Amino acid sequence: MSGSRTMKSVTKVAGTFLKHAFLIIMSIISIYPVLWVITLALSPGESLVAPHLILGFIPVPAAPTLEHFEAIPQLHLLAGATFPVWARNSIIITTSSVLLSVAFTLPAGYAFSRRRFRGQQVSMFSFLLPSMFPGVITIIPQFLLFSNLGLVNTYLGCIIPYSVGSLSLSVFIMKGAFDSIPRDLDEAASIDGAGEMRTFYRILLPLTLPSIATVALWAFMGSWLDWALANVMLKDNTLWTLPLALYDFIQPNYTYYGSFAALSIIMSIPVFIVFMIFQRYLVTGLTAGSVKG
Amino acid sequence: MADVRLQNVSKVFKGAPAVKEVTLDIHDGEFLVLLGPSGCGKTTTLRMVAGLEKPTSGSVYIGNALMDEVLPKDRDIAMVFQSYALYPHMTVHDNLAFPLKMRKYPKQQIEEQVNRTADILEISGLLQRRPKELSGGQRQRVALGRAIVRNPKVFLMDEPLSNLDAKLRVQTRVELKNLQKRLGTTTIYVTHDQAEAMTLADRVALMKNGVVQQVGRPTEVYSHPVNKFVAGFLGSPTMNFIDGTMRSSDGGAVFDCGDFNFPVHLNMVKVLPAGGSRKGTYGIRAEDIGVENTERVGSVETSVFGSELMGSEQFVHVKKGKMDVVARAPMDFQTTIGGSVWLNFTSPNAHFFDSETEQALA
Repeated sequence: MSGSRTMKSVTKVAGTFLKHAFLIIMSIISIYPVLWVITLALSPGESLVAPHLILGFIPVPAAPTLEHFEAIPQLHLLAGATFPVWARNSIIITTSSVLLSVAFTLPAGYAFSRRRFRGQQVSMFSFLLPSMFPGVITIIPQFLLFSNLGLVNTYLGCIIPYSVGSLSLSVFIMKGAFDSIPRDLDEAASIDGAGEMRTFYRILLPLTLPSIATVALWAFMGSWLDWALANVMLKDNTLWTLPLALYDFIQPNYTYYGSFAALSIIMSIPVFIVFMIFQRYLVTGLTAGSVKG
Repeated sequence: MADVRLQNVSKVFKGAPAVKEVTLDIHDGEFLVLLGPSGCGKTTTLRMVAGLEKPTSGSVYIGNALMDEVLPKDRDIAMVFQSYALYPHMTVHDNLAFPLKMRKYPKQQIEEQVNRTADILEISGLLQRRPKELSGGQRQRVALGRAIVRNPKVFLMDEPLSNLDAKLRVQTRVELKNLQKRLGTTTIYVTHDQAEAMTLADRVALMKNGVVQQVGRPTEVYSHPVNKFVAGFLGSPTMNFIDGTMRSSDGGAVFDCGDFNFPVHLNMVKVLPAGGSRKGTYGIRAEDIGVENTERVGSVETSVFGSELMGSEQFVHVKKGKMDVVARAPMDFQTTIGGSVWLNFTSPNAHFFDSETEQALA
């Protein structure tokens, strides 16, 4: 009896150990490149010279310096424009894309959840369809279309594809979120004197905030970090977004590793902040609709 | 305050009729209970009064005004949902204030009415809580509060007590009835619980398969059911039904079950053709059956299957041949399982239902 109990607890401890070992290894694998980026950003010069390594593999800057960060506001060494211009471009394009994406997603998700209309299945499928192809293959057709429309080399040339690009997933997240709210609430509100719009704003929106946060975050990531589409649409370096500027540090015969790493870190700060703020909502947002609560 | 009138109201869902030609007059200040088994169309009927469903044909009138094209918010009704449908992101105060805000009441009046309602329902201490911080009974009160806060013409209630535990349900039932009488607001109340219907209703409308079977005061529907369905639906334990043939005998009548027969009350004779017989179902409630430990003239010997002690009384379950019957006996009546008791079915309150139409003949 006590033997089998000991066996059981040994198995349990071993299981816990294996689980934690796995998690630690996975964490190291994800954090390791970031450690390198931080080390490079804090090391003097632009080279990839091996810095000080703890235990032979953990990089730390040998002589830490903030010179790369201090230089960022004036960065223009290869391109003509400077960091503030690129940052402004990124902020304008990303903010517009996020707002537009949410503005498209909310009514679409609402309609798919609350209305019954002809062609509903087909239109839902058509939202899903684009996500079945790798995003890159739409870049060339989009470029051709946008150059006919005169949108290449404009903010809109990025804002439109970004705000539409996240829809296929977002609309489904929102539909799920609205589905999870009992119809009784809509009906109670309609009897209490609210029209459809007021029911939407006063009842449904506040209850789907976590999902709206998820949708916004998804659109934010798609736009803030994108390089491929921006590279095709934005030729003029005064229109560049931060990822394009970042890529400019990688030249055919020389890579400015220090500046590259410093700008990477600056770029990821907003992502980090947004994640911190929305973390609580994010998990509920992604699972909302899967469980009726 | 207003009358509510349904005139030949029907509702068809994708070819399946849910409500058929319902005509009801609900008087000003009346408490009408729509009663029936699930799927009988009672909730659909209520939702048509609310304007949440549009009748396929027929019309709803509230206070003599035709409601065909009137939106729910403009009908001046309030509804209590089975799920309560409280707004989860709002405090109790804001839930109560919502219908008033939507109607653009001045702030001060909103506060007054919310506080008055909270006082009536004894939820003043809960105003700053959110629905998830409330017990089931408290939520139910808030839902009720949201309905009464703006003095609507009509209350509509869709099984509002069904999520409460048995004890709380009985208590709330009494409070609800008292509240409705104090406010004097016309109320339509949907339930499948016949005890709720009996205790709450001024009048009951019993529905089956989308058709109103009978409308009347609870005692009237209980004592004079128009058909076998109504007779069986109201009352606990359910009315006993015995199939057989009624025939004349010595100026009176007997009911013949095949294996045995018993004399019936003289007022049954009128359903028989002169000197003839008629097939049908004899219906008699447990309290109308005489139970004895010894044989008497006209009584039937039966075998005890079991008995349920209910406190001051007990229900004795007996069998004879294919017949199962429940009879009411005093608490101290002695029975043993498998032993004999003698039942007397000759009550003036018994019923006789036609075997084909199931309509009550007597």
